[in-house]
Amino acid sequence: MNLQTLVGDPLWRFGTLSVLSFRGLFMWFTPFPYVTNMFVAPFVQVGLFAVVTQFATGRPASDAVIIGMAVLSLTFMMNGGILQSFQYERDFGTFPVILVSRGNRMVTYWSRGALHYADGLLSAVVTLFAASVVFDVDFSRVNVLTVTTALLLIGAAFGAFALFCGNFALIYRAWIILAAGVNSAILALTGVVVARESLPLVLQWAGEVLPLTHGLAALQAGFAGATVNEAGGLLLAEAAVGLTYALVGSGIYRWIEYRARVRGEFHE
Amino acid sequence: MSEIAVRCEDLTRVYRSRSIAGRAREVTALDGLSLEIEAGRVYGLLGPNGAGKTTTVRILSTLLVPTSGHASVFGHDVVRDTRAVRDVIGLAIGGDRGFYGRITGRQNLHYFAALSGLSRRDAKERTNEMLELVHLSDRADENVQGYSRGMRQRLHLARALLTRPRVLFLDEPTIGIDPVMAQEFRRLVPELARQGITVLVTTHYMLEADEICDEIAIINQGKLIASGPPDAIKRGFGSASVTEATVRRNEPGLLDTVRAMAGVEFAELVPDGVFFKLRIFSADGKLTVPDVHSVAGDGNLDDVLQRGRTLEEAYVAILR
Repeated sequence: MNLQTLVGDPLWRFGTLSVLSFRGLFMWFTPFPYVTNMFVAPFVQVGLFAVVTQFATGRPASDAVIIGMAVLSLTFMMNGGILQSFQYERDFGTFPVILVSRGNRMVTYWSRGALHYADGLLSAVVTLFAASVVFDVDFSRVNVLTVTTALLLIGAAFGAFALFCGNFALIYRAWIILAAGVNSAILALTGVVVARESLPLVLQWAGEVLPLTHGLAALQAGFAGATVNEAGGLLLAEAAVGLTYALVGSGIYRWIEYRARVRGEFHE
Repeated sequence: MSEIAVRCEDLTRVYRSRSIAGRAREVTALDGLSLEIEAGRVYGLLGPNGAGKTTTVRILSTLLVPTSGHASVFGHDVVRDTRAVRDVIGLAIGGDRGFYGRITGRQNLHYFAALSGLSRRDAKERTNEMLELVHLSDRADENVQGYSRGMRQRLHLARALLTRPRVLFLDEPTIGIDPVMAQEFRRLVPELARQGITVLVTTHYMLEADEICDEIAIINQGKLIASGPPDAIKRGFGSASVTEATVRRNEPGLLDTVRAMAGVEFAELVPDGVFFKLRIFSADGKLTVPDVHSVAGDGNLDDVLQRGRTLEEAYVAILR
């Protein structure tokens, strides 16, 4: 075995599956929807929530809310794209071809999220830029390492969560409803806009098991100058949530294959 | 005897589901199907819609497990040794679907090559070879959403052959293909068999099955009704001879009289423009042209001819 066989070919396979599934299954990846979602929506979103916050509280939107908006754009972008990938796999009739292929299922599963991860991070950066342009967000105390680590972890944890939800888009073929549900839960329960302490206890618990909750707290701490060590507990918690969804999600994907073979479902 | 490529023993598949009211429903798609396909042969699976052809292909290609029975491909069990089976098979299903419309034909093949674990170099070489084979090289860099159904069918075949399979499963591969490409397909399949590839093809086109298949199985309601080489199917089941004639006047009682003739197994009289077409199925040599003239009346028959039965007629007779 040479280096090409050991490293080059597996990387080429993962890259090919990631790029071509992104292009083939992500319906927003055409100029108008993509530019709108990536570069226009963040400004609109930040502005809208800032106005709503001011109207609701009588005070200007805090930096925390604006940072939350940046992360929210990451989740909106990744969620829509990944859920589409799973549903359209079935709608386009390519799922049986995956089932009959000799390739590693986990490579296929994770490749569905790879470019959306990059896409989500880009969206978060654009939104933070929008926030810095439109609002006078104080970036003077930012700990870059903490913020970067938190953003990367949030993207990974949310990606694992979106892939987990993608299984249900494949099963129920209702990605729009799923996306709306996920976006609402993230918006309401993770502290993006509503302070978690103000939620009923049950909803606070629900927030604990969602991605973003701990990562966002770490991110906000990073913007306030906290080091990685200081935000370490929050970062670990976010990683643990992501890892759980990664394990459960990939297990469900294997279960779908089992069910397809035994019950004859998902072939059409 | 040559190696057995595909073997099904008493294969049964029952689909179970529940209605919204919770009532259990069962549909038996395969009911004790047994067959064997020798390596390097072209095997046709014929049957009406819902006969169990696609279910058979899905089981053999590891997409579905049988409810009972046993199936293997080159000795590998399709339920337990899925990896080994997938290493030696190619599958063309999907018709209009089964591709990513927003990327090109070449990119689709690259994608499925990567999915199948081919190396980068092998994927590119095989993609070019397969595009050439199915005459899509000049359209390979166009998005698949602009392909006609026939082009998609050819791309299905290209994808199925990417991994150099030893057994190729083709589920209704020529639906939507124009006559020229269908002819090219009928030339290509025996060529693949000459290269040692075993081909299992399901089709509704009897002429196609007659031309390309070494052996045919006719299934209905999940059961094997008949099997053998096409000529044996045509000769071996019921009437072997067909007498056709144009009838000028449909005299009362004519069809009953014909049906009552010695050796006649089945007869039909159908409108054909201003005249009628009489078609009589009989055992070989039992019915002569003068016999037919004698019952139809002088000057009432034109264009009388006798011929062997086509596969389609044999198929209809078997299912009737």
